[in-house]
Amino acid sequence: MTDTVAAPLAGIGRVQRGLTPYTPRLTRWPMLLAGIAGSWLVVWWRAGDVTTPDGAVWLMRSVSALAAVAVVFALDDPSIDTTRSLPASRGVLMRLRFVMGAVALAVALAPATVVALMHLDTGSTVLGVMLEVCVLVVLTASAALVLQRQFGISEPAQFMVLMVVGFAMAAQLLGQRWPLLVPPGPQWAAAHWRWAGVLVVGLLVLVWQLRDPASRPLRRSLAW
Amino acid sequence: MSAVLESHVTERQASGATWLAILQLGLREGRRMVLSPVVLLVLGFMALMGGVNVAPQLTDPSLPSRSEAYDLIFFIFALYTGLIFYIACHLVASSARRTKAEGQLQASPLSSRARSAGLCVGVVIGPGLVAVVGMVTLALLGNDITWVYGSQQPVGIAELVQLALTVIGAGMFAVMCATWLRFPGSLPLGLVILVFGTILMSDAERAPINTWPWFAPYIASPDWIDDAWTLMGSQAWHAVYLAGLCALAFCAVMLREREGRARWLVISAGVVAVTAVAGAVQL
Repeated sequence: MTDTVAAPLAGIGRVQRGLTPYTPRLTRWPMLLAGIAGSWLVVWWRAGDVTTPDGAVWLMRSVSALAAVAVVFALDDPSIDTTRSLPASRGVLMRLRFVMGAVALAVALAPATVVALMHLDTGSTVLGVMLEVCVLVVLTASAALVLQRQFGISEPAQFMVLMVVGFAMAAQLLGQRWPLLVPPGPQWAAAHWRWAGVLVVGLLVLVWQLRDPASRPLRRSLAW
Repeated sequence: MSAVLESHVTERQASGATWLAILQLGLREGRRMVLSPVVLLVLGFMALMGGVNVAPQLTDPSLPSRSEAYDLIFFIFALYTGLIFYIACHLVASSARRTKAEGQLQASPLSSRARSAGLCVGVVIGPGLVAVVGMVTLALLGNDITWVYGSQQPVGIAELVQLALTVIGAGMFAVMCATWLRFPGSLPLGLVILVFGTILMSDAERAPINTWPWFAPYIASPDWIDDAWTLMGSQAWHAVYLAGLCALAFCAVMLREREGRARWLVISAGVVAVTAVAGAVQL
């Protein structure tokens, strides 16, 4: 690599390294902690009533809805108006935010997962529940990034409760035609193909929103 | 010159002008709450989902029967309208904070407390009017129906008033959350407290005493909640209790500002006493 190319890249690296320590400080930790506390409280409140696979699935659904709304606060960036004009890719910062969100999600879901695994007997049921959790998290994250990148809302996580309420409403209203919230049983596999379809749509939106607008080639265009 | 003119304005006239301004602000805020993109978006979304669900089953393209329309309106008001208006009212009440316009509003003729009062008046005028229209529609539809929820009769006036008060109460609670919790997560936090708190209190099996669900901020209609506890108390007094909760949320909003807090503490104590009495009498 020639010096003319290496020097600006080193400068970009310095800017990214300079921004990295500020990212955890700017994160909305109280909401992540509130999400974890709320998820644990729900498990503490309802774990005693879970005696069937259906009960375990509903416990996971309730807790994952709560956790999905909370962990998306890791993507909030109050400094975005200032930092978006800096000569640095947002990839490093976004990766850091995703790691923080993933850690918060894992901690929030751990007790509910333990309770659910005690009552879910088949591997396909466990996989299905995990797929539902992924869909909720991907949908809220992609919707938050759409608001942040397309509409200039620096802290979109507060609106994501609307996304979860809307998704629950759609699942209830479309329950007869395309059931999603089904109990473990004969409808489980068909319903989870639909969940997988929703996941694909969510992932496409997420990848589209993670694209760095400053770089053209697809290989370098994801903000990862 | 202006000082001379101002001296002719009595305290009573100034107070009257402030209340008129609060009412005008309430009209404007109520309109913003009802016409919020959230309300229109969710209603459009529900219509779309309902249409997708119903369209393939339509062999006879006739209008729904009175009992079907009654069921649908009751279902939407009992499950969704309060939640939708909670979100809309919170977004309106927190818009100045979110857009960082609070500093500019400090220079407006109305004080911060008057603007908060305007928001509460807006909840009564906007979502309250929607709730009243819905309840009048239900009362008219239910007038001739003999079949609603199996073999039950349509719900009574007191239960319809309860339903309207849950919508107003959700809006008041949203304004209270936005006024006291001034950080980005206050909307989801308040919603989680509202939903899980109501579920926790309505759960008769887990309640410390079997009358506890009567204290939940929700309707107590036996036609909607198929539990034995709904048959034990007074529906009319439960409506009074819910009105007391709405008034308490209003008092909490007024208590946010330091100025005149002692007077509002006295008023709040009176409202707490009346609500407690209504809560005790309803059982």
